[in-house]
Amino acid sequence: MSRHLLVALLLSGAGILGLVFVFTSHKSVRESIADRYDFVGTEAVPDDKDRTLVYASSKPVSATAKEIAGDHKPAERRTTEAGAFLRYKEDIVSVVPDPAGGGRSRVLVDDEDTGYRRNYLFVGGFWGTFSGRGESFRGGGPGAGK
Amino acid sequence: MIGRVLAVLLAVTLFVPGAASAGTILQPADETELAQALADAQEDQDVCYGWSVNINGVVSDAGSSVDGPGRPPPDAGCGRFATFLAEVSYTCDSCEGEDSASISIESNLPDPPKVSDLEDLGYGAGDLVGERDDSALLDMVGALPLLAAQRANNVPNVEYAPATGVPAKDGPTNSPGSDLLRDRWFLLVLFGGLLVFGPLWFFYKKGQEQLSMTTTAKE
Repeated sequence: MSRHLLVALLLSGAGILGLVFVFTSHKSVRESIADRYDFVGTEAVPDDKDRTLVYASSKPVSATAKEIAGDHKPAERRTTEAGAFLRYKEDIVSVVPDPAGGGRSRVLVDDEDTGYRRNYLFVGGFWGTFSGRGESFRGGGPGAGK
Repeated sequence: MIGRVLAVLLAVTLFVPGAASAGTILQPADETELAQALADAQEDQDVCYGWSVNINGVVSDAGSSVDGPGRPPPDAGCGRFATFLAEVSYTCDSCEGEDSASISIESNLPDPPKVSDLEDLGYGAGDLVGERDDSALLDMVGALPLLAAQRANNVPNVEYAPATGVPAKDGPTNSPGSDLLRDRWFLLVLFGGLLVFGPLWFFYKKGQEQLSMTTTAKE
């Protein structure tokens, strides 16, 4: 076997092994979340037959969102007063404060359609169609008479 | 005559120096929605929120949970407040240097939201000079109530609840590309390149050898 052929086989062999590693070791965002956080249960989404997978994180929303986005870069993201929302090819991940407080958060995993419906008020118009309300500033706050 | 006057006015408007860099980042409807979301948060948390963005030294975008869109956050009247501040500098097309931005959060909360919190959420000053500056500004300002609550300020979280009554015709569009490609494009390019480079290198060397043998035979 010629030296050139040996070098060529080594290069291509490394490429094949590398590609095999890349494809076999890649987890979906769902798998990564299931590995990292405690599964709590499922939750219904209004007017949708699919249920949401709910996980608990001991960290606040920003730190939890950073962990998830660090594992899997989202295609799009939104952050609002109510939580952080990450969009992937087939999933939408919502990181929202734990209602029990304590600086913890909940991680909600939905498929794209269910996640869109669940978070319509936050991602509607950004990640899809939105025929919701248009409104004027009506104020709020103490004594504003909302 | 009227047409000529309009044309001149249009030309003057388009070619006033700096006109392209003036304007606002947020659309009026988005400003209103943002101010309303902050007002609702203020009602829950008893903290005033606002934003003020300067573009090339001039206030371009401002609003607050108290006075709504278009007005800078009030100096007085709020016991507790958190305000997002940004300075954006656009350079002209023919100028040297690049567009730049800086951001900060002004607050009198005991444990105020920090720019590093926004960075954890995936945002930075550079987003304000990017293609999606509007959504970045909406998100950074919109995150203030969330960040105020997650820090030790004795401020309740804004309640999250799934939407109800979503119109059936509405749904997600522009489905994103492969998660694998987004996560590992560099490794895919690297190893794919190695796979292709092996045979290329072999045939290149083989060709060189044949060329060398042909030259030697001629001599």
